[in-house]
Amino acid sequence: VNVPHSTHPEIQRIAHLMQANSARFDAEGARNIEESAPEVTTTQIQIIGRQRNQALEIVQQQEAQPAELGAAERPQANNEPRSIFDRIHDEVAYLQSSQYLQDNRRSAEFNENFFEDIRQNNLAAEEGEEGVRVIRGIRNIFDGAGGGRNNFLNIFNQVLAPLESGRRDRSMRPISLLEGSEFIPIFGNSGGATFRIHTSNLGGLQARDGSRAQNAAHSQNRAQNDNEAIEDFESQLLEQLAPAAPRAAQREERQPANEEPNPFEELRSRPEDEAQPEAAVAPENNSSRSRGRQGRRGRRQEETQIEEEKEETKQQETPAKPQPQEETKTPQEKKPEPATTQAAAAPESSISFEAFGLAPDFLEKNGIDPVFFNELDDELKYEIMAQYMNKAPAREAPTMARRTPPNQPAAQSQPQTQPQTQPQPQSQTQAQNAISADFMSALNAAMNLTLPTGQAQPAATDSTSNRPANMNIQSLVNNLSSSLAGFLGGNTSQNTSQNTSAPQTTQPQPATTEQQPAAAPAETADNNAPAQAQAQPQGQENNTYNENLNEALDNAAFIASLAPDLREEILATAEPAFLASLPPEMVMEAEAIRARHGMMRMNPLAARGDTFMLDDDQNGAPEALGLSIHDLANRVRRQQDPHHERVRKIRNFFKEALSKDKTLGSKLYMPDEKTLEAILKLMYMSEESFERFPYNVLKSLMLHPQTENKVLDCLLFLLKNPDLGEKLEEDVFPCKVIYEKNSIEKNYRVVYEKISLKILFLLEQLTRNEPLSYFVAAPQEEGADKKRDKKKSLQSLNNIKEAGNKEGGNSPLLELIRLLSRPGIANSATHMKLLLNVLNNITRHLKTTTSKHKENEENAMKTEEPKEQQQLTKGPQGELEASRFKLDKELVSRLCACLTNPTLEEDSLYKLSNIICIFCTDKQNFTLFIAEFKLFINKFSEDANKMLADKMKILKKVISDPAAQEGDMTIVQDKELLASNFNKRSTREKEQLLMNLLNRLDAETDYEIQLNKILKLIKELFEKSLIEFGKRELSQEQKDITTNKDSDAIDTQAREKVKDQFRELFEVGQLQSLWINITEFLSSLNEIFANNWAILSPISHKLQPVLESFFIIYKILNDDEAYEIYRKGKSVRLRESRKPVNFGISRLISEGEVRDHPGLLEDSFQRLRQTKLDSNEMLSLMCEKNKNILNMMVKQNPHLLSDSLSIVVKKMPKVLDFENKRSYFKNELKKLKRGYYSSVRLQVSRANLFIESFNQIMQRKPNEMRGKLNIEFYDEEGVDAGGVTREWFLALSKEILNPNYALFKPAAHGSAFQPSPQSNINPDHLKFFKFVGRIIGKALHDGYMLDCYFTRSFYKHILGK
Amino acid sequence: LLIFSLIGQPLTYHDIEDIDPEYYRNLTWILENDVTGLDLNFRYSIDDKIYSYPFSNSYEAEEFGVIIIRDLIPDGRNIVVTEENKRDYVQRICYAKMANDIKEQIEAFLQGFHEIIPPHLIQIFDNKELELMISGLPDIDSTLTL
Repeated sequence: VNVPHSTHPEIQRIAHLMQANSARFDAEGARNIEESAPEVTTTQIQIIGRQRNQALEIVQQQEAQPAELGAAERPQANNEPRSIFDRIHDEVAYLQSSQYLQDNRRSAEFNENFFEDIRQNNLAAEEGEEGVRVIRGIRNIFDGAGGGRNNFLNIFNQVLAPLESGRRDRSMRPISLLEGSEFIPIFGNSGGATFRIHTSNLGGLQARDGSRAQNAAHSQNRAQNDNEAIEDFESQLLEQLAPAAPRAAQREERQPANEEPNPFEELRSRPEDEAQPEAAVAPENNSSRSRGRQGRRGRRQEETQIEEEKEETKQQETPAKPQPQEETKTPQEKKPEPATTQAAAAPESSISFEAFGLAPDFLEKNGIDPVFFNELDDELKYEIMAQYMNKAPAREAPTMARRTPPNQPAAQSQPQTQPQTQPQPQSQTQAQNAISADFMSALNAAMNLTLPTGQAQPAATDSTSNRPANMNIQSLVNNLSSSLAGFLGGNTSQNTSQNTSAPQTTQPQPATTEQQPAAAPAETADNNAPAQAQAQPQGQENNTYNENLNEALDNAAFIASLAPDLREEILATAEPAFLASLPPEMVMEAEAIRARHGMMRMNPLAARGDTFMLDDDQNGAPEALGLSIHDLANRVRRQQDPHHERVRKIRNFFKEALSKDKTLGSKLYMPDEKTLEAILKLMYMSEESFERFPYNVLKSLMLHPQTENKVLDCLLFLLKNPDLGEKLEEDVFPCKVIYEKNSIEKNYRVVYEKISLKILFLLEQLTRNEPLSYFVAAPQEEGADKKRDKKKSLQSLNNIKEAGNKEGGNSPLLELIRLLSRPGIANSATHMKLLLNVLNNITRHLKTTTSKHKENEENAMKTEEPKEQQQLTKGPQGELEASRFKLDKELVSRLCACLTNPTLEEDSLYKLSNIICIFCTDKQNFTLFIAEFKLFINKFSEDANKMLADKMKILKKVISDPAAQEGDMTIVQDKELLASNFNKRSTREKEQLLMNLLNRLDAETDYEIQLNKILKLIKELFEKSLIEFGKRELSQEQKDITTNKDSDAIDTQAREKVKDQFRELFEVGQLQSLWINITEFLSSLNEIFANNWAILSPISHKLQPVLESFFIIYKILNDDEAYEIYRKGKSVRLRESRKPVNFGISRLISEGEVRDHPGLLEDSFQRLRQTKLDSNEMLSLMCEKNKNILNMMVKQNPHLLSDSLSIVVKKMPKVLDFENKRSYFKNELKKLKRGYYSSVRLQVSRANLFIESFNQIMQRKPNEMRGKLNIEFYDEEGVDAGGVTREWFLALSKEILNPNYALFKPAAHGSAFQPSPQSNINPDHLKFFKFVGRIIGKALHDGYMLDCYFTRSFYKHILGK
Repeated sequence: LLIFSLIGQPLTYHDIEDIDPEYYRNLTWILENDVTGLDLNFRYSIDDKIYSYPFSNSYEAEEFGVIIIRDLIPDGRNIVVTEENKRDYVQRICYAKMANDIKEQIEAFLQGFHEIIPPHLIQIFDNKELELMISGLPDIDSTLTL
């Protein structure tokens, strides 16, 4: 049986690609123009949207491009007359610029006229530049003008859609011209309708053109992300096209490598396609879906539509080939009527819904959450990928039977959707069910459906990526491409054969499956049953397939001869090139590499004439898979952000399903090692391609626990062993080299550096959102660990691994920590940062899991992520107490050593403190850390002390005896200065000298900086741990309240203990002397520079750490803020708990305790103060003495005041300059203002200013008053840009003092005012005073001046309390 | 001389100067001179005539024509101001004048004010700085920066 194996869409596509590819190389220059064109236009169009006034200019610019474009392709086009088109274009531009079109109605009118014009003259139908311009004009109109979009659909339908098939040159077709257009994304849901419409049109035109069946492949390809669309597609398509297929296939086969200039367009548009498929496909999906839901009602119509759709999409995609050219033209002429009628009919049915915003309703009616619905398409891609991989191993011929054919899910989902329509009003829960069921089936469908497309696609990428090589080795190329096509044909034909069987089965199936109600997600298991049933009819198909395959393999002998590894590598190295086809600028670079690599790789390839067996099918797939996934992931990454969320959601959903149904886990796809290798191998590519690393794919794959383990194992292993270099072989997975842009990096040290960076990055990504149980696996799994290692993937790694495994056996997390002190990592800031990020991610999850665990236990507490929690309760994560990680001393010191790492950045410091904090929840760890800190502090303060003392000495000498400078200078080894100093001793010189000296000294302040770092960390730690403790107590207390306990005392003790420990930290004698030294040092500085502070400013930033550390310590010692927070939280909690009546008694108890606490605390602080220097005195001394330095510091770095110097603001505001205070004030107010953006609108008249303002302002809530004032005086025009507000304030302040209100009375000399004791003459006087308070506050808040003065005592009142 | 201490910015009897310079002078005189035999009592009236009144331990507040005498300390009208307690007297009478009489008003005012400006923020300033910020021109002196 000669099954039409090349009927499959992919074959066509590949052929086109190949053609296109070659064309691309032929038309190098043209391509540049081409590729840049779409981008330019899109941006331009965006601009148009915004600045319609400039439209004219832009349009002209835009003109230029198409012109060039046209020139490149059809040079003769320039000679043709273009007057009409010019006119139209000018018209459009004019209208845009004149904003004429902003009015919807007018624009509609205009559009009608305009399009009538176009239609009658058939302008758009012109080939070449003119047509392009017209269409672009149309697009401009719709992008530019707000209105007329609906109208556009009609116009499009009538005018443009017919052209779609008529244009020989794909890039000249309306759709591709419109592709970058703004309106498509805007349409969103309904955007699909546009495509639908035109596609249906086209379909109508060509419905009967069976010979073009092969083109439908493209539609399929396009819709690959889409489940139901595909289902419909495939079944229907095949039904219709099956007979036509063989012919097409044969034809196709005959000229696989046909090199045509035209297909070149295909390639050009590919980037676009890839960028846009979601936009285009998703809506399509919607429409087809909703149509499906319409049920039998529109069944008949539906089917035809689908066919049409398929065909039109294919039309869209296919570069016009030589043969079909005439065909395409003729139908256009012959069947304009059917097209229009079709189009008319289409809107009536489902399309109109979507096109005009009814989609949501429609969906809701069907019990489908539109949001979910919308997400589906995109999300699915991810799942599809995962699932697709899932199925890949199943592709072995023997297991064929297991594979569920596409038609099965199609059948399933169809019935599912149908029942939904029947009961129109559905309850929410039902809807939910429906959704999930829908979703599951969609997943299933996706699984199966991606099989053909996805499988074919890697091949496609294959061909593209190999292409450059082909350029070089022409003979090889032809061979390869044809064999490739043949090979793929073999693969895909299998699918097509399945597909052909589909229609037969689909028809009966709806009947049976219909009886199954829309069921729960767990239904997936059931799905397999029908699948197997179906597999039987397929058995027959199988035979044919095998034969087919053999046949194909003959052709494919060449590519087949690739050893899997080698081939993989080729793919891997060629990958960037393939990717590069997306962003144009990369293409050039990539080409060079590809060519080079191609050369290198191709030769050995040819040399290896090994036989590549039938099982190539199995082996090849996963590899290729890696690529296709990569490809997909890339596309997806383009819309990452919104996506990310969705992916997560879907993954969560999946996990949930997993937890519900354990069996699902086993069914989950477990990619084989090759696949993983392939993916991981991508790491070994040059930087730019790594940006596109398919970590999302990896993530999805890692849903499978074993896979997860494997991957992480592998990564960790690579990370742990920097000296693998020699042991590695060429060409196998843990690559020895990195494929750089132009070279291969062979030095393994460098390789390791880069790879480890990438791995870390990868890990960071992977750990970002989900807790990975891998890292927290208990250390006791040692045995298992080793076992895992042994049987672990990558055989090539195994022997090496065993060697390196001696040290192993620790929990991965601890391993990671250990890595911190690796020289390679520790010396690189980026490595460090990433590693810390990873750790932070992991530990963070650790924390959340533990807390959640607790929460679950207590069964109280709000839960933010119920989903995750649910899943967590089931998992073994419950045991994930952070405390399980007993860090040994070594690790602790390693962590701490990080602190002193000069490469550490502020950000990482914070993260580090987080990490430590989490570890500190365990008492043992905590004490370890504390001890370590103590050591550090001791050491550093000692060093710092010494240094300071030295400095002091020098300083003093300098001050006291200028002559002694000489000696000092020699010490400092500054001979030049010394000489100069000898000669002249003007004070000026001296100062300079001093400065230099200081500079030098301060260059050595590393110690202080490090000390500062540690102190900062400790501070964070302190605060956090206090809060943490507070929280814990709180929860405990809550428990206690319910159980009527008072373990509060214990808690207090615990807290005290913690505090004590911290306190101990600072009871180190060194610190004390350090402070004394610092103070002295600074004050002596003060003396020296008393007259000339300006000199100091350049070095003040060096003094900063010293001062800062002082204040930090002070804060830790004296700050009860944390405690305050704790207490507040507690009392709030208490107040809350007071509500339930039965808590009365326990409330009393705890209240009493709360009252007791301050006493306790006071005591401890008292103790503290006595044992240590009197910190308060110290502080004031310090502040007073170093006022100048402080102010200077603050001036340079204003946020200090709200950060480490906050204690100064709190306790010693006097020492700060007014300007500094004011900026602090403003900043703090700004912080408060955050979130209040709505403005306060007041409408007042001058006559009644006071009362009217009063009434309006007092209606506002206090917080609302933080918004911007917007004042309007009646009868006065004027935009309030500040001036009116100022006036209002001034006028109002006068009114406030108006004796008629008797609010204020003048002081004796009359200029200053204060509240009048007799104001109660006015019954509302207190309200008025409140009002005045607000006004004055607001004036201060906004920085306006008032025209009034108050008495000193009144100001003091404002300041007081 | 500290009369009365609010948290950040203590009110002093000097603050009464810009309310009523003459009264300030009187108080200063009291503090600087021997008051024995002046027949001052712990009382106070806001009436201008207060100065000619015999000082007493109570004070008279004139509200709409009616003079009300209030005691600064319990039974103040019968307690004579002496050298020993004159400081206390000055303190109390200033406080009465500057705060007690307008307590309600001040409180209402602050209520509104603190809705916009949190107390701890405004407290970093001193009164001169505050005046500068509210009213702009410092009519006292321009050497405000410390």
